[in-house]
Amino acid sequence: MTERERKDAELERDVVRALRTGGELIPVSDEEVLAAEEELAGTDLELPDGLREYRGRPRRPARPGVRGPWLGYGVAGLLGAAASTLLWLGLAPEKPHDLSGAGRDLVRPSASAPAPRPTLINGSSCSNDCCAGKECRAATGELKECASGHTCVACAGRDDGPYRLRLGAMVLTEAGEALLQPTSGAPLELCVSTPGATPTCLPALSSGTADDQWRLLDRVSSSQDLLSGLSVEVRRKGEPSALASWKYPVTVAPEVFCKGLAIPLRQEKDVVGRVSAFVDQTHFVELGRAPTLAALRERRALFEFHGIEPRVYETTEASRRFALVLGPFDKAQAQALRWAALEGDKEAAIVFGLDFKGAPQPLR
Amino acid sequence: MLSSSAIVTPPAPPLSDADLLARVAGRDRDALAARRAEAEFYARHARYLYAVLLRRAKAPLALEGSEVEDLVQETFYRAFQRAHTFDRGQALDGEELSRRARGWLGRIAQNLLADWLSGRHEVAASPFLETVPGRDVDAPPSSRSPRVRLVQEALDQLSERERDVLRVSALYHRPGEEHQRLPNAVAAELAARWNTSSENVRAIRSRAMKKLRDYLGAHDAVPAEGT
Repeated sequence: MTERERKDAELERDVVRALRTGGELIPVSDEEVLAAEEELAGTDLELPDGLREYRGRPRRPARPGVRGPWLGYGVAGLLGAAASTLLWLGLAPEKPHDLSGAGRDLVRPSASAPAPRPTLINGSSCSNDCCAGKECRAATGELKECASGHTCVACAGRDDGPYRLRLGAMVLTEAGEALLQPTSGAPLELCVSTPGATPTCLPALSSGTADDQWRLLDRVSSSQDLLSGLSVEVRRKGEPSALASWKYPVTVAPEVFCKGLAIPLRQEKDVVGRVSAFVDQTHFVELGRAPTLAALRERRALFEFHGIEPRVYETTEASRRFALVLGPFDKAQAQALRWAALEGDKEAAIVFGLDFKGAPQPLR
Repeated sequence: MLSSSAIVTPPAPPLSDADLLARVAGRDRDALAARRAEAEFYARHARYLYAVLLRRAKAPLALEGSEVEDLVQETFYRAFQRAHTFDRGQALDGEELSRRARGWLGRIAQNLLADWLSGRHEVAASPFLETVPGRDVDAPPSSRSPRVRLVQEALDQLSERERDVLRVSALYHRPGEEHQRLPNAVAAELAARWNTSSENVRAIRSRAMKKLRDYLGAHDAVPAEGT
């Protein structure tokens, strides 16, 4: 850490302290609690009816706009090809909040109690309310088959991300071979960014192995980020200046999901290379995380899946190495699935999967 | 000789918050006692937490579209799920334990709020809650600290928009981490509130931090706390 970075980190910390001391954040220390209690002394505040007594697990309704038709996503995997599976989820309408049994998941059933029924996670094929993908009956022309591997793409305006970008290796043109001289000097990198964000860089050229043909960026971008201008630059590793670049405001539309982006990288007027990029959904529903696959199998047995199968990712978390997940989906679809799990009193989390490693595997 | 009516059994002293949480954590052994302990703990602290969150969390909750009631309920639910993680620390008497318990609830509420704002409506796998400590690992120094007072003065120089961005950003401050980052979803929510773009929200934050640095520099900065 440089001196400047150290000072910035100290200032960040002191700002938090000042805001806390000033009563602008939730009290967390003994001193802050005492101050808050003194501030509240004499306040005649009644609890609202809903809080008069502890009712156990609250049932938070989904936020407005998250229900309805969803984008289906067939996972293309890191190879970006291959047929994909999935999906349209025909979930039952959300049930009214059940407060009578609230808190029941705080108490484990006794050993003699009958085994709980598995929670049903229901999937079905792509509905008619879609615009692209081979499972979408309404798709026409070029959108009947998606190079991205997506099999059921919703029409525009249903989803605000965030998303993850999947990039192919750069293919050099003749001009690029001459101008960039890829075999000499530091390796070439592709650096991807949106305005205001630090670029994420990865090797520009394929090493020839199968697993570096398609790379998921380890960051997510909102539709606003992409719309404000996606930038891809070719640089020498360790050097800040761009040898070639491309910048364009990307509207996340069915065409982009389906066909992806063909990115020409230019050095002045010369196209020196081309890169393909796909926009992927990034909301995974994590049903469990455990140190062993055996533990995940136990977890999986708590659910019954129809038309959809969970998969296992290895994670970077040392103590809980494996994650049982569904997806990725768009946010609304992930929310709906997660709530299906919650309705069965099973925990489920929505994660972006940034700590997942490699390709997912089925849980046998 | 004393009459029998003079023999009065003194009432049992009330259970401390640590005792109550221990009973909650022992729900596998005695579910009924655990439920009673939950009810007692809730009765002691719900009003406090509601009042505090009403004052200090209503604005960020409005960004996310939730109500204070939601956060109160979820905080207690999470607290009872993780009752075994409550650390009484050095607290000796009931009042000290009560404050410690309220600080612990505050941490859970703060982490939930951060998760909600960034779009993670489920926090079971959140790295934040897993590390909710009972001890004040990043407890602020006394409000009499010159450095903190100076930073407060500097904060007063900022516009309400800059201050709001820093206040929400503070929810995501992770002690000891080199780079503090505002999640994209949160930047987008702030952008909507201030009718601007996510990029501009980040620019506002950078500008605000620069103003603070400049102010501290111009006022012969007091060394940072803990350095």
